[in-house]
Amino acid sequence: MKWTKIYILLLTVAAIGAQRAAAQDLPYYTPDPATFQIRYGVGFPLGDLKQQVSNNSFNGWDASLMFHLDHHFSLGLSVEYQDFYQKYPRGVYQYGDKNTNISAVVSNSIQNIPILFKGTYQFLSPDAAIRPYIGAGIGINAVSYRQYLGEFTNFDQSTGKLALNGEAGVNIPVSRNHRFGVNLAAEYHYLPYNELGINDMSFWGVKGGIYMPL
Amino acid sequence: MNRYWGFLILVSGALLWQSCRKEPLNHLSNDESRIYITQFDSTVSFNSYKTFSVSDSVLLLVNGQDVGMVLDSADSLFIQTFKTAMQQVGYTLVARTDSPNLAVNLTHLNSNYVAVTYFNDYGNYWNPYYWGYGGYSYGFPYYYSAYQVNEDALAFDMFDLKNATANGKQLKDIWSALIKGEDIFNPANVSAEVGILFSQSPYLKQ
Repeated sequence: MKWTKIYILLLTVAAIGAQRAAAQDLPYYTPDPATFQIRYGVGFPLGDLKQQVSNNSFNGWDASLMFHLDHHFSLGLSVEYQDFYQKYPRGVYQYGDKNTNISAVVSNSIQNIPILFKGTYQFLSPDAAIRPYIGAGIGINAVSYRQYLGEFTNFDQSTGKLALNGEAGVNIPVSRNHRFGVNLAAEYHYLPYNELGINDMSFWGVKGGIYMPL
Repeated sequence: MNRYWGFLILVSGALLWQSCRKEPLNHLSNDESRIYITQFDSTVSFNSYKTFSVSDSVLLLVNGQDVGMVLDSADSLFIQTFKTAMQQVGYTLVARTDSPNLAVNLTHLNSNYVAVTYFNDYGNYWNPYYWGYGGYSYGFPYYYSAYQVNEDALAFDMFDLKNATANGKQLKDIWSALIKGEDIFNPANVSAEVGILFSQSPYLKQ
């Protein structure tokens, strides 16, 4: 009986020890199946877009739903919105046969809405204080371009085009369980257009927002 | 989890509030709303014309219909300002009966009409239950809403009287201009409006 008690005691101690050892091996953070992220964005026009609107855009946001494959890889969908607008001082423009001149204040209003299938890779372990990541996306850019001469519409065109995206940033957990945090990123959007003599609507931007588990 | 959603709703609301599309028409002054279109006949030499005359009143067209000749204070100001501008670029003002080389007509174009539009499903946002008729629906007439359009424009047309016979007895319009937009008949704007027409037509200068 005495040996039986000692045997049970030893087994209990071993079990508790094994459990504690196993617990130490478990990551501090266990990834959720999916993460929802929403961010504010500032856009900086590039290339042909800059010819149409040279002003930076402070009207932008994106929202994404990412599914975690493991501690590092995620795949998901993202919808982005960036509004570019510029009003040019009054100027005189030649039209048609060049015998016609129009004096007008030209306003250009362009909305890029890339809808992307996205993948990201997060570096470091999930319990790191800051996790850098890189990402890329491909999808459709729903782009709307309206131009006004004074108060009169010169053209109003909406179309869908290819969208490619590259991104790098950091995720900074702010909750104890690392499920909720802040995201900061820089991104580049390659957005071919090939309409109205404009080759692309590409821009780069900086983003900041929050992510949370679903 | 609940506080996550609360925070998310706050952030989303802030983004939506901040990120609305800038509507270009809401960022235009009346002056910026106006456009000035000029067109000229490149086959003529304006240096060959020396004298001109301007109609003493303005033809008013409403929805394309001839309403008659009018002359209010803005019309008079346009006529006088145009005469002065022509003289400043080197032409001589003469009476209509003194065989001017060029004749200038002014036409006030007004589009003023009411149109109707149809909103389907509009009433479904109101629940008939509110009036004690749960399970009922609203019946709307096919045409439901109306909107009014009232646009003004002023046209200038310069005709070649000097070569009317040589042109097959035709008074050729060798220069035309159109002003469209907000507040174009405000007397305070007339001088600037006529000035823009001449500044973008340097070939008129003698």
